[in-house]
Amino acid sequence: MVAEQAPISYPFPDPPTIYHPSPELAGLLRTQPVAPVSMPDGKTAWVATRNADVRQVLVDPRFSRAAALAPEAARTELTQPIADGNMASLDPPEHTRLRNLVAKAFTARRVEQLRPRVVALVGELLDKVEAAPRPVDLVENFALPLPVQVICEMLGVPAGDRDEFHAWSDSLLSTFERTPEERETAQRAMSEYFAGLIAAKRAEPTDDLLGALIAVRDADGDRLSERELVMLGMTVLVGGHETSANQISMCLLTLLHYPEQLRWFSANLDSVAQPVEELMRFVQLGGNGGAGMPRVLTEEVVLGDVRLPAGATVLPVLSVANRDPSMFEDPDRLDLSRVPVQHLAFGAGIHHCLGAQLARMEVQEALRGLLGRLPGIRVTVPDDELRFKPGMIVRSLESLPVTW
Amino acid sequence: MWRVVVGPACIGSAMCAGLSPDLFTLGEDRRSRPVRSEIEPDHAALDAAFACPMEAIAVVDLETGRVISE
Repeated sequence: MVAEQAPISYPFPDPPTIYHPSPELAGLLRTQPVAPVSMPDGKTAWVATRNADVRQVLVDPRFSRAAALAPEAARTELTQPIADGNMASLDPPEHTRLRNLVAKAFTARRVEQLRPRVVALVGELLDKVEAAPRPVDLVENFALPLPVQVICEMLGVPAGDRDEFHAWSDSLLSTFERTPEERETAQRAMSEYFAGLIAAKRAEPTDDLLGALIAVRDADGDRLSERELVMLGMTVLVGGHETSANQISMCLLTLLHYPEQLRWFSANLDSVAQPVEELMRFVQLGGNGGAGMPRVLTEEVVLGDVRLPAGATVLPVLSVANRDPSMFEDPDRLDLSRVPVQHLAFGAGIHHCLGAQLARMEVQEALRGLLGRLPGIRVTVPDDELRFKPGMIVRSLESLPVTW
Repeated sequence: MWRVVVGPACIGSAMCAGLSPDLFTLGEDRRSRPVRSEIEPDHAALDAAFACPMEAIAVVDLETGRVISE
C-alpha cells in the first residue's frame, strides 16, 4: 500500500481537542496501519494503530521491552518510564520475578476489599469540597488526594509527604521537553526518600506493601535486591496516583462534554462498572498521542502486512486502537451502553497495568460520588482555558475549577 | 498430567498469553483459553495463574484432583 500522506514524525502532532486522537494519527488506521515514523534522533521507528496489530505488539513476546533499551533502538519518553530498572522495561524472567512480588496486592479480589475504604475517602473529600468556596479546584481537592491517599495507605508511605514526592513524580513522568538532569535529580531524590522510609520500616516493621517487600528482601536477597526494592516502591507510588488522578478528571470532563451520556450515567449510578469501561476506552489520557511503551523486535515479524526486521522499534498507539471501527461500531461516539468494551487503555500482555483493577475501582467510586453528591457539577472555564502541565507523558491537569 | 482452566472472570488482560504463549491463547472474544486443557506438568502454567489479575486461571493436578495454582 502506498502512503497518501507525508510520513508522520515523533512527537506526534497535538490533537485539536482533548476528546479525540489527532486526525493525523487516527488517519493512519485507515491509510497505513503499520507506518514508518521519523524520530527526533533521526532514526526510523514503526507506529501501529490497528487494534489487532497493537494487541499483537503488546502480547507477542518477540516484541521486547528490554531490547527497547538498546542504544541503537529509537527512544521515546516511555522507553524507560519512571525509574531505571523499572519492571516495565524488563522481559521475563526478571520481569516475572519482580512483578510476582507485587501482583497479589493488586488482584481484583484484593482491590474489592479496599472499596469500602475508597467510598469513605470519597465521602470525606466531597464533604470538604461541598463546604469550600466555589469554584473549587477538583484536582487539588478531590482527583489527586483520593488516589494519593489510597496508594500511600497501601504502600505504607506517609500521605502528608505528598507535596514533596508529587514534584518528583511529575519529573519522572515528563517528556523530552524537560531536561534529563531534572529527571535524574528527581530520581535520586525519590530513591533517597525511599531509602529513608525503608530504613525506618526495618527499625519498626509495618503491615503494608513496602513492609512486605522489605520482609521478602531480608529473607532472601536473591529474590529482590536493595535497588530493586527502592525501584518497586517508586514505581508503585508514581504509577499509582498521577494516572488515576487524571483518569478521574478526564472521565469527568468527557462526561460533561456529552450531556446526554452524562444524564444516562447519572441515572445509572448503581451500575457504573460497564460505563466506566467505555469511558476508559474513549478518554484520551496519554500526553504523547496515546502511544504506549516502545517495543523492539527480537526477530523478523510480519505485523499487519508489513515485514519488520529484527531490531525494529515499534510504537503501539493505544488511543487509536481504542477507536478501531473493526472492533467498535461508530468508535468516535461515546456510548455508555456499549457492551462488551475490551479496550486497551491499560495495555495488554505481561506489562498490562499492574494497578488496572485499583484504577477502575477508584474511577468508579469517584464518579459515582461526584455525580451523586453534586449532580449539577460543571467546569467554570471553557476547554481552551484548561491548563495542562507542560511536557508530561500523561495529560495532566494543573487544575479543574468546578461549581454546581 | 495437569488440567488448565480459564474461568469466566477473565477480562482478556493477556498476562497469561504474554507470559506463556505455548499454554494460553486469546480467542475471537479476546479472552484467554488454554491451548490444550491437559498438559504435562509445566511451571509456566503456575506462573500464569499467579500473574492473572483476575485470578481466573486454575491448574489442577489430575492425579490428586487438587487445585495446585493457589
